Amino acid sequence: MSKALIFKLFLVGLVILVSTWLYLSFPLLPKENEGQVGSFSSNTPSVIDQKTELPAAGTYKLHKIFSTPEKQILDSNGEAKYLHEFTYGKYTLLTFFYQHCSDAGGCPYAMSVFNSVKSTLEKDAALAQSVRMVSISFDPYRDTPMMMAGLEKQMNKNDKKDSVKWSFLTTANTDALLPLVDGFGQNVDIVIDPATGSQTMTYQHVLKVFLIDRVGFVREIYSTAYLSPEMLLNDIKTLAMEDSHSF
Amino acid sequence: MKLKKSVIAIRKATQVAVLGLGLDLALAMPLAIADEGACSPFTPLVQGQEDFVYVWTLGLKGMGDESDKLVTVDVNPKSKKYGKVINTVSVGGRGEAHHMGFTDDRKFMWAGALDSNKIFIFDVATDPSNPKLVKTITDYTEKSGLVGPHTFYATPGRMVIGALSNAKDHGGRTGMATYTNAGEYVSTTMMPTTGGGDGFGYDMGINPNKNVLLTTSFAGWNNYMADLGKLMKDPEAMKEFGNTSVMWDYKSMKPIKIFNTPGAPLEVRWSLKPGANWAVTTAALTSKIYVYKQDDKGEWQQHDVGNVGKPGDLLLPVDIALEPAGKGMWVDTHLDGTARYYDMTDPLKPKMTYSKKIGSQVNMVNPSWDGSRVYFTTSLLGNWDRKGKDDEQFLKAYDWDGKELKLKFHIDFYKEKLGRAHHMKFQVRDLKTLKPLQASNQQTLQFAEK
Repeated sequence: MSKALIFKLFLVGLVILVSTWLYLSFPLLPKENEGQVGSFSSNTPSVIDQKTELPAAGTYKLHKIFSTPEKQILDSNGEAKYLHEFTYGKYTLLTFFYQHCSDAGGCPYAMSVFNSVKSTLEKDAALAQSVRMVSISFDPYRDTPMMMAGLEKQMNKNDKKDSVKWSFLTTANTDALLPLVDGFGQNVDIVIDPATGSQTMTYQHVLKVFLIDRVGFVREIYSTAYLSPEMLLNDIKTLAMEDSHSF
Repeated sequence: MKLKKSVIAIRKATQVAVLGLGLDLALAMPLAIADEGACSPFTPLVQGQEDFVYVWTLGLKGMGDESDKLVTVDVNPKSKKYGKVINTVSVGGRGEAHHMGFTDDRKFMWAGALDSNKIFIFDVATDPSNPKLVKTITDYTEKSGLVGPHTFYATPGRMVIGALSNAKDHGGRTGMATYTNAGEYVSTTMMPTTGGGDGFGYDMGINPNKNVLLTTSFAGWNNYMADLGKLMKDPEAMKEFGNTSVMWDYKSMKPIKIFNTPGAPLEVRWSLKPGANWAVTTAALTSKIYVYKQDDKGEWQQHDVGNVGKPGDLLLPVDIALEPAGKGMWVDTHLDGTARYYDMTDPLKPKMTYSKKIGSQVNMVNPSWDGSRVYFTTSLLGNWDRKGKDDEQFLKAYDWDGKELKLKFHIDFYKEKLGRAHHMKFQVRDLKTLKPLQASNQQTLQFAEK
């Protein structure tokens, strides 16, 4: 046996050993009890932060729920782009909103949570650079690219080099909007004035925030009753830990 | 594809509304505080008067089309069709229809069959008075390894389906499968079998403010498809009932604490009173009432708070329903067909204040959130229902003034050639009167101050 062959076998063995060590020590991989048919393995105990009542980042798995739809949108310059430009390469927090939303538990609440997450992330430059935020309007007629540009400027006004970029997007019209919201399973209804039968300025919807991984899979969905900055940060860190163990 | 088409149909209806072409869904609803305690907290809730009650009904051989069906009943007192069956959707075949649940936008209803393991998805938004079957999931067992899809619990963008059994031995070990709202399988979480867990499952209830999920435990296919009379004479089979309940960390789907809860604890109801942190269940075979509450150290504890009926009575408490703000609770007992009302002002000391015999048997109970209307149905399981003349099958609607139930209407499901009346859900004609539970902003504000 040649020295080169022995060296190659040694390398292969080393790779297998390291891979096995990583697999066994990495808590996020579905070693047991999830996604297995007929498995009766026990669950491992939950590690919960007593203050937030949330599990510690990296101690749980976020499943791939669905792939983000590939649809056209308009950025704040009015340029037509594909959504993947805003959902690939970074961890993305995405939500639908409209600027005239007055439901305190809806769009304004999501904006407040995004703002908190953004300012907290920016204390950690490395993590901040791996995250983006995206808000897409339900209201293509009033929320024009120019309006989106104004919001984008306002919400990123204190940005530095390592800040989290928060993009505000819209669509050309309702026809472009509806396949996009359908692709995310996001409901939206125009509220009709019962007295006149004409549409009001209200877009009724259940608030949803989507956490998207670096390759465009939705990994968690949040709604008003289950949305906090701590939860979003934990989940982003969980995805980051998963990726760091994947290499 | 049908589901996708239906979503598009709903979108088109919205577009018509946008164009002002006369889509008049709007009915003026009284803005009473409203809710249905059995619904997921992620599902928008009914405000005021419900327009329809959907009844998931078991088909019966020799009756009508013999198939399981979704029955729609008009329950708005202002309607000319009040108290009448206005539509039925047959699913073609009998599979032991059981429970159902709305998606998180309340536009689709998922309904399960415990024997066929089929899951039927109905569009209940395009025309809430006339639901349409848009998709049937037939590979639930193949994908999840589970048998008996029982509880349908909406989480954001997904449906968690708690099962009763498994494909390996049809016993009680089981789990929960998660699907996307589009009907795509995501994952399975098995019930715990160590640390005191028996692996059995039944109902589930999430308290999002506490990040907890409470599950209970019943029995596998071998028992729930058996004749009840024969089953109760089989000592070995009677050992195969769930004896645990589990408090989970909902985010991680890992158990926090496993409780010893003998006698098949069934329905889970969380108090929706702002700031409350307790849940309740009843055990079918022991008639015990259990309350789950955090102690001063924040640890979840289970409390035995009393009995339904006299200790030792076998009444088979089945469905329970908490009234708004957790002030009162209805408990149905199947074997004597009686509904009991408990004052739950102090959840650790429930007091029975009223009881009424609803029929020869009773199973499900649905109060409106303001508590002024209460609906009852009868069927427990096809082979567990009473026999002969005691096998009454109905939907009964009552008004409740806190002192007396007054019958408003009664639909005999056998006379109408429908079948066995089981699970109920409310719906409104105009979905824009629905409102989600509001989360507290306190946590966010505290975080922002750091």
